[in-house]
Parts: sequence; C-alpha cells; structure tokens
Amino acid sequence: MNNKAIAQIRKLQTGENRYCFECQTGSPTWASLPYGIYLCYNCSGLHRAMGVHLTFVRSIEMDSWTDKQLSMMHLGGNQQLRLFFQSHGIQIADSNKWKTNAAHYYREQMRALVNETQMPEEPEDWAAIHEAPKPQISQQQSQIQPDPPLTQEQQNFWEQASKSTKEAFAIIDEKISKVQIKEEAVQLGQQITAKTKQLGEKSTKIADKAYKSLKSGFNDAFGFIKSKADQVIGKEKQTQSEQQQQQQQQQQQYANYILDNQQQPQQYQMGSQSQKQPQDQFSFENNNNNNQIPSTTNQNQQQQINIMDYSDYFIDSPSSIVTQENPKQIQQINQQENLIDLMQDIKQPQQISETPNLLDL
Amino acid sequence: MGGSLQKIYSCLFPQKSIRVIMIGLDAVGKTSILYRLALYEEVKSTIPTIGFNAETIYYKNIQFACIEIGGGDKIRLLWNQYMDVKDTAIIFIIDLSDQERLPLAKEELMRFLNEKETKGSPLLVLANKQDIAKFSVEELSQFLELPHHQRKCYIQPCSAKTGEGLYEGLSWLATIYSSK
Repeated sequence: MNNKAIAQIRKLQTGENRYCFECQTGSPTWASLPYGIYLCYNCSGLHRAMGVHLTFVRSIEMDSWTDKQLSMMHLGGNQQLRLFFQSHGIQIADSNKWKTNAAHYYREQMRALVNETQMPEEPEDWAAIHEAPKPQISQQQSQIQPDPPLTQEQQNFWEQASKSTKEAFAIIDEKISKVQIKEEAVQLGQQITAKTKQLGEKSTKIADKAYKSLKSGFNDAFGFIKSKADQVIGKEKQTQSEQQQQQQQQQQQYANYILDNQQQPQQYQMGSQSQKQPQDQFSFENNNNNNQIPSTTNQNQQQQINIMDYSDYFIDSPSSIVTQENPKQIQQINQQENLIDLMQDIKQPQQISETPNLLDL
Repeated sequence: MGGSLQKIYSCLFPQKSIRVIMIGLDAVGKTSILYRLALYEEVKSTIPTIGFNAETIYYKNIQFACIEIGGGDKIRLLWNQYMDVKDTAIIFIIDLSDQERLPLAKEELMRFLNEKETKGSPLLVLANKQDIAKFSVEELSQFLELPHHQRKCYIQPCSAKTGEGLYEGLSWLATIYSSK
C-alpha cells in the first residue's frame, strides 16, 4: 500500500514538481497536502511551524498516505499553485502568502474538490490576510462565565467573608512579626548562654584553684596548730603532775599546819601561788593563741591574695564571701579557749565541709 | 539560614534524575517544547525529527533526561523501544489546534499505553498550542478517558510559543518522583 503510494507520488514528480516550491532545491521528499506542493526537508520545517490550519506537511517516504491525501496530490502541483498566486497578484517570495485570502480560497477549493462538497465563495480582496474565525471555546467560556446576580444576603455574606479574611490575614502578619522577634530573642539568648558557659567554665577552674589553695592552707594551719597543741598537752600533763606533787606537798604542809598553826598564812600564800600557776598556764595558752592567730591570718591573707587575683572573673563579688568566712575562722580560733575543742575541730574539720560554698558559685 | 539549609539538603540528598520520553503525533510541537525547556527561548522553526533528540533539563533540583522521539508514522512504532529503563515518565503532547487528528492521537496513545513496557509509568499529557486552541482541555480530558489502568495521569495546557504551562507539568512530575 505504502510502496504503491510512493510510486504514485514519484510518477507525479515531473516538471516543476521535481523541485522544492519555496527554495527550488532538487528532489523534494516532503509534501504539503492542502496545496499539493512538494517541499525539501528544511522548508518542511518552516511549513510545520506555521500551524496545521495553514499547511499540513507529510513525508513522502516516512508517512503513510490515505487515498484522499493521494488525490490531493493528484489535484495540486507546484506549477498550478504558482500560476494561481501570479494570477491574483501575490509574490511567491512573500512569506505571508500562506495567510492571504487567496491561499485560504485555494485550500478550501482543494478540500471541496476532494470531499465533493460545495465550492467556496471567491474573496473580494485576494491579497488581504485572511482572518480566521475565533475558536469556539472562548465563546463558550464567555457564555458560561456570567453568573446570576447575587441577592443581598449573599452580598452581605461575601462582604463579611472578605472582612473576616482580611482580619485573619492581619492577625497572621502580626503573628509572623512576633515570631520573627522571638527568633531574634532566641538567637540573642543562645549567644548569652554561650558566653555565660565560657564564664562558668572559667569560674569553676578558679573555684577549683581556690579550693585547693584553701585546703592546703588549712592543712598547713591545722598541722601547725596540732604540733603546738601536742606541745601544750605535753606541758599540761607536766603541770598536772606538778599540781599533784604540789597537792601532795600541800597535804603534807596542811598536815604540818595542823601540827603548827602559825604557818597558816604561808599556806594561803602557797595556795595562791599554786592557784597562780594555772593562771600562768592559761596565760601561756593565751600566748599560744596569740602566736597562732597571726599565722592563720597570714595564711588567710595569702589565700585572699590568691583569690583576689582571680576576683575579676567572678560575676558576684567573691571577695565578700571569702571575707565573710575569714572572720568566722578567726572567731572560731578566738572562741577555742580550750585546746580540747581545737583538737575536736582538727579531727572533724568544719572548714573543709564549708568549702563547697565556693564551688556553688 | 535558608541557603545553608538548602546546601545541607543538597549534600544529603543529591540531584535526582528522571528519565522522560516525549512522544506525540508529528508536528504537534515536541521539539519546540524540548528546546524551549532546554534553551529558555522560543524556537522559531524546527525541522521534522527523524530519530530522536536528547536534552537535559534542570528544574527543582531534579535532572530531567528528556528523549524526544519523532512522531512520524514509521517512527511511532519505535516508541516502546525507548521504555526499556524502569521508572521512565511519559510526556504525551497533543495539538489543541488540530481537531481532525485527535482520534488518531488517542488511538496512538492507547496503543502505546497498552504496551507492557509502559506499565506503571506516570503520564503527563501536554495540550500544546493553547494560544490557537480550537477545543478546550475539558473536552480533551473527556475524549481521552483518563486515567487509564490506574496510572497517574495529568493534563496540562501549555504553549511552546509563550512558554506558559510547561514548568507546571514538570513540577507535577517532580512531585510524583519526590514522593517516591
């Protein structure tokens, strides 16, 4: 079938049909059906770009042909179309020749001849550009578009709906602005937290150092106090033994006084002397305490200096806390009139238990 | 913020590539649509495609490897030969100004969709030449009787001359393949 069609078209390619209608190149392989003309490969592309309503291009070798299409090729021809255009005063070099009324008449005539329908009416102005009637879709859409007029209730409803939507959009805009502010605040908060974390790390390091220095200072202080206390306790034992000896002596003297009543005032004097010895002992203790206090204060001063070096890094002035503790220590040492209480403090050091207050910064 | 997120997203999820074949009758504008999408400009005139044209289109971080096959009577039989790769999307192009060949277009489309190679692949129907249309898209959808065999279908009116409607169709394909 297809080979037969090709053979038929090849038989028709004689005379001007051996060349392209547009560019006159030889051996055209494409054809435009509505005019029955022959085209080359490049000109077929130009014709296809015009649209199907103007020209309909088919390949002679690659497309299948129907009987009507073959009959169109039989009716048409390059020479026939050229003579038709020349008779109606249309130049073939003009690119708009396919849009003119002449071309439209030629198409309609060919279609009428093939389909055996009525011939079209001849146009008045052959060279004028043919205006195709508007497609029916747009008319249908325009017919559909007009709606019945709205009642007052519907108008009120739509007005309310538009108002409410506008209000809703306003609220949404406000919320969006608030959200943006929140995001900015969150970013600022993140920056602040990062800085505070750095400060906190620094402060913890400082607190560790302060804790270590305090601990070493207290250890030294208590070691000194212990050594002193051991000395004092050893002397106290000596004094106790001396007292026992004195009491024995007093008893002996009292026995002698019973024997000899005239020696009574001397005995009282001796008693006063014996009572003075513990006073001396107490004064010695006080002297010990006086000796101890400056050492501890010196250590406290050293600790204060150690802490004061880092006091710039603290947010809450830490020196006040340290000064709060130091008087306590001094008071404790002042209140420790009895050495036994001091010894108990050495066994259960309160200062080390209080040091976590520094870490709680 | 958004740019960095997009960078991270592109690092995590690299560009998807979708293989697309564009088919349709002859002289409906397949080549024009392909080069409109690839070159971002109107192509004045094209020559009839003998064989196929292949172009790569980038849209929405997706790489569309488009193969546009000629629509001649003898080349139409080779359409299903390009469906050998799995998950190939089909773009069928219909000329809205050509009312006479619409039954032929439907016949060719149904013949192609009944091939076993095209099973399950999504179909995008581009109704081209919307600016000189002679029938509406609703009539076209009623005539084509889609969807066909539970296939994902979408009809998008477009115009290769003005460029409207083409990227909407591509975005539909992108949504389908991004949801997979």
